[in-house]
Amino acid sequence: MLCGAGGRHCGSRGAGSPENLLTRMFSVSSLLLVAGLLAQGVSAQSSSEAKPEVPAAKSEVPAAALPALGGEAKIAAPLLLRFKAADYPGPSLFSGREADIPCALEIDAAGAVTSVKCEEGGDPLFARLARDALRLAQFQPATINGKPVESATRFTYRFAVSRESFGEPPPFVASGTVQGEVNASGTNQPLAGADLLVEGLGISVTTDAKGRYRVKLPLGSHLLVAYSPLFARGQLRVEVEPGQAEVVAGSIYLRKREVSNDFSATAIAEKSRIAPTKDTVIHEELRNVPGSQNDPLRVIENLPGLARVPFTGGQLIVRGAPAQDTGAYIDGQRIPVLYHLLNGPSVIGEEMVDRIDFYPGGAGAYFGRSMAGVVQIQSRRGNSDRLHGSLAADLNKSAAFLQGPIGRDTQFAVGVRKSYVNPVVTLFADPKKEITLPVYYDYQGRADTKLSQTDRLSLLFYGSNDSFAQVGGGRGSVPVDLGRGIGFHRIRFGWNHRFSDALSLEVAPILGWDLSSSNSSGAGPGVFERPQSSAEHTISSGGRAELIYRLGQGGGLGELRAGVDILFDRVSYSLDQLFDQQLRNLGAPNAEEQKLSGVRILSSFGEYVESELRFGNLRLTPGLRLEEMHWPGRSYLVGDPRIWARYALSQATTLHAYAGLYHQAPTAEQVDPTIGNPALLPQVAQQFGVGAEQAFGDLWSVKAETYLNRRSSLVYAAQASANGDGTYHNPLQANSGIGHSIGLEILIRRNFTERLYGWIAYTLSRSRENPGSDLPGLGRAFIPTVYDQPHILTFLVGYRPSPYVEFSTRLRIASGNPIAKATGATFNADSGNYLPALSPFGSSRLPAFVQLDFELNNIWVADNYQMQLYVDFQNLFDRPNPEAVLYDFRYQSQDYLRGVPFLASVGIKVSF
Amino acid sequence: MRAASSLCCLCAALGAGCTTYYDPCFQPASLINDLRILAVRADPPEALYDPGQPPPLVLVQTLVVHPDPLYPPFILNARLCVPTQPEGPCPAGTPLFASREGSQQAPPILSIQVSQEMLKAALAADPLQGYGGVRVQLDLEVPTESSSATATKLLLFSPRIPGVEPNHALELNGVTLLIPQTAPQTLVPQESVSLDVGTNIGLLPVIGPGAGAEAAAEEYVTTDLSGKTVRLRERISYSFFTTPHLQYGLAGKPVAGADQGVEPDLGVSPPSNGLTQMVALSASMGRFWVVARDGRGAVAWSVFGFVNTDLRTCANPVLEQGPTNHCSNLELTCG
Repeated sequence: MLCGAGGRHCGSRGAGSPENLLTRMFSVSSLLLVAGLLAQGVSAQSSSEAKPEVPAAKSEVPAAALPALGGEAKIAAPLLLRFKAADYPGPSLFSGREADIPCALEIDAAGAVTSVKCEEGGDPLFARLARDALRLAQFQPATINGKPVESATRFTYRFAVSRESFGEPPPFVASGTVQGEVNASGTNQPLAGADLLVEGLGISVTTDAKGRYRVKLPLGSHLLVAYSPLFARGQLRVEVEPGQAEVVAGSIYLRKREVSNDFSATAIAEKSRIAPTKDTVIHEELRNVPGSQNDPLRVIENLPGLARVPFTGGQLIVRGAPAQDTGAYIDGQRIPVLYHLLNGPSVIGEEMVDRIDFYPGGAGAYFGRSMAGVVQIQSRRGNSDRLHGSLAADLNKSAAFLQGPIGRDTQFAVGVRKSYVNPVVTLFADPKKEITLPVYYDYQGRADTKLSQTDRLSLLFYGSNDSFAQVGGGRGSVPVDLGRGIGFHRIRFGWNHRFSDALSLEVAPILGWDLSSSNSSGAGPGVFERPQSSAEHTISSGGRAELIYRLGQGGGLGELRAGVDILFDRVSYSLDQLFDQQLRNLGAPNAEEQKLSGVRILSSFGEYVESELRFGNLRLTPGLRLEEMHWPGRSYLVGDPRIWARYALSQATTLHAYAGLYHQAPTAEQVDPTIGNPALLPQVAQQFGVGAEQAFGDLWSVKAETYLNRRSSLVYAAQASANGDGTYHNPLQANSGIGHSIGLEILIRRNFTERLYGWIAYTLSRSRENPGSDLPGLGRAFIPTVYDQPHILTFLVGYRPSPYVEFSTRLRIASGNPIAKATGATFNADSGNYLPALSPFGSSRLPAFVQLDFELNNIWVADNYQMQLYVDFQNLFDRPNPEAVLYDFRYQSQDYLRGVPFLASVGIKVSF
Repeated sequence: MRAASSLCCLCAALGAGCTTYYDPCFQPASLINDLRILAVRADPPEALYDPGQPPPLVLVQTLVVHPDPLYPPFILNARLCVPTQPEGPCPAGTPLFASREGSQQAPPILSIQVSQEMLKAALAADPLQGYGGVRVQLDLEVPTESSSATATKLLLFSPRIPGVEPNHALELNGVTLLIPQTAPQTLVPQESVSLDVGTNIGLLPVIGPGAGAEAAAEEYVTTDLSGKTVRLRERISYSFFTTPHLQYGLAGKPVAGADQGVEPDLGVSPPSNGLTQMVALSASMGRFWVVARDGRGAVAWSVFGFVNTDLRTCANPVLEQGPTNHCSNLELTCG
């Protein structure tokens, strides 16, 4: 139904009963009485209340009622006192019909309507409704020289579906002010800029930024009808009683009626100020990717550049580099893990995520200490309009979330999530089969306050903890390290100060605490009785500060950025484990119990400058990051120059390129003097990339990028060697490795503006490393990295028949990971174990991975809450995707460790 | 909503069936169901030699087992080579050093005299230039019609240095059975025991020092991984094997690792339920073996017999019924 000249689409139903589906609308163009006479030369002076210019009505005062001509007669038109609007006929509303019904109205000296005659024309229904409504109207009678008189008028009663149809409102005596809000059904979000029409009177107002409106009305019953783009109309009847100066109306809820780009996931190849290759996924695009189980951070697994990892993993393998080479950040603060263990969701609840930036390469100087990609999660500020929240549950976890304002300038958002042992699994599990399930919790909170026009404060805290539970236990099962746990807690303060429109500063001190523990002592019989425990606590402190200066009006000429990024890690650890303690033993490690404990201070000071310069169609961003890395007994200063450029050939075509240097410190374990090598150097990567983007209309776009990531000084285990003088050199670890990743990434995307959407992501890549030493089985050759997957194809498509129903499916095809196949085995009589004879690593691969997922989402919407149900089917065809080769104790029998079988999950979420 | 509810139930049921990830079904290492070599013993475990003199003679015994006690005599072939890197069998074409016939009851004993040339070659190939002794690799093979049982062992030769004690042998003198509500019973090698089906029995191997040693777990001096000189004590580890119808681990729930054990630290009491447990699965008879290793090359073993009797009287038969008494079948199968 077309709604006004603007061509926007109007809704067809509100929430509630079928009757409420009908939105009623009509207008009375004018109720002007007497103006027509005055216009014909009657010597009279209209009162101030009269509206003589309104052309749509013609009114008459009977001749008998007129005073003698030629005098200074003072004529006043009747004014509407009480009004009851007619209902718009529902079927006509659906068809978008409008009608102008000419009516003749007679009003007595008391102001009552004594006669109404409406021309039926081709619309008897409209005529009857207009007649019935106007009969109930009450007027302040017309007067001549202050004396009430009978009057008559002709006017047009207009049934319209657009605000633009209205002329000036009729004169009336305002009795009370009605105020209320217009909100979106289900989410309760205020709708700013919504049009509110008072039926019949032709009064219209627009809601403010918080969805509020105020309108003065005469006495009586009024129908308020609200419009907003993409929403169906909503309505509310209000009564203005005598003596009521203020009438607080309830909220008008509008239900979404058009499919728009929310409730979906996407990868927007947005060119940011930080990197040219960033893929951004914003909050409204984070849901409903099949296989993600409604987890926003799982969405990035479908972007080019990211290798597929087994269900047990959850690591981020970017362009073939090991997981530890990719950094995960929340608001610029690094976190140790991004996902809960064993195919769990991400460690931050979806409600708290505003945006995810994924940098497969070429990250700007803001980011350091990572040689490969970067994932940056931007947390979400709490809503400022009112309290919102949600409760969600599925078979594995429950979650709660609350956000809203505190006072005028402060907002908060808090969320918590807790998993449990799937009750259905417990109920139906085969007692002979052991199932290990993750048990975790996470929490997040954020508060923001506006101190002044130039200052803002924010507080962000979050944390996560993972452990395991076990169900069942059967033949040959291995005692699981149930004592294993990993967790972290973070707090970040932020102060943002704007010196001027051009210059701003953000300072963000951070504190963190990480815990990683493992304890399998006594987890089982035999060797599992032995002590095997470790614990590591890390207290992190530091902060970031960034100064931004915008060049030109609103930064139109570019930006200059400078910042510091400081990190102090105090790592305390204790180990009670079996270690190979001898430099050499006879064929079998004589593992002895080793108790180690200590404290290490690792720190890193990063300083960076970056400028974004714009020269016509060219954006050039050179940057430099200096990093001082410290670990016990060692300090290194490294410089990472980086540059990227972006050139717009046309509105539809852009080119980009980047180059940069990236340094990464070894881990705390690698530089430990007992089990590592403090003399290690930082590892280095050189990243290069060239790409292009082409848009095809509003819907389609293609992005392609080819890249090279060269790595050196990689840390590998080193073998001991004799010095020739009776002494031995055993560095344990050395910077002996080199490696490289090279590839092409293509993203073909259909935008999310229609019911059908989706993308195809293809990655062609090779990632290889050379240990640089004669390690057993490796030699000096380049070998593929563990997750080297030459071909990765993701096809994702979704269909939304309405804003509240969505079907989506995802097909993933990826090359199998490289393996070393066992070709035989020999019993080592010294260790008691069989030693396999292995083919060179990478000489064979696991079979290709193919998986089809499907997800269905449905949302039921009430006025101020909504309920969402999702059903997620993983591996729809139950394809047994091999994730690893398993062998029996003597490598005679082999089988595959299979990936996720056909897996169904269901979840429900209620939000308000 | 009704349709959604039904869908929920369907998905819940589906989810329950699908969260059990794949469980491969391999035979446990402790189960002897074909011809295998379980251990190789060299006496002495660390042979001392005088530079310039021929290395001393080393006696090598091999524990070759088969589930059938009447398995016919077999041939044991031996080859010597410089230790391979990475670890593996001697290179193809390595000549046969010796070949002996033996049986389970009379295992073959090899008397090995390593040449000075072999010792020199081994030293030259060693990246640590003989640190901790010179190693010579011994490959053993028992060929059969279908396949062969193979094993490798490093023979250790150290230069005689005054004041430096070599590693000595250890002995396995028996095993103590911890049977519930019964006094501990110690079996000597070759002895048999009667076991009740379904009863969990703790095992405590009984070890003793070998010739020249003061204790089974000797102290020794070595260099740790960071280059420091450290004094350590050997940690004796055990491997347990059995013919079918006996298993290691608790009844109904065998767990990987249950067929291995570790001698407690000096002065630490062993667990009250033994270093591991075993349970008879059905009425039958067979043998079980215990192999001890000191981690530095010394090995000892013993074999014992068992006779299982099923005395259970199960009033409530379960789905999987045993053959005679309506008791549950303890013999777990794959799948």
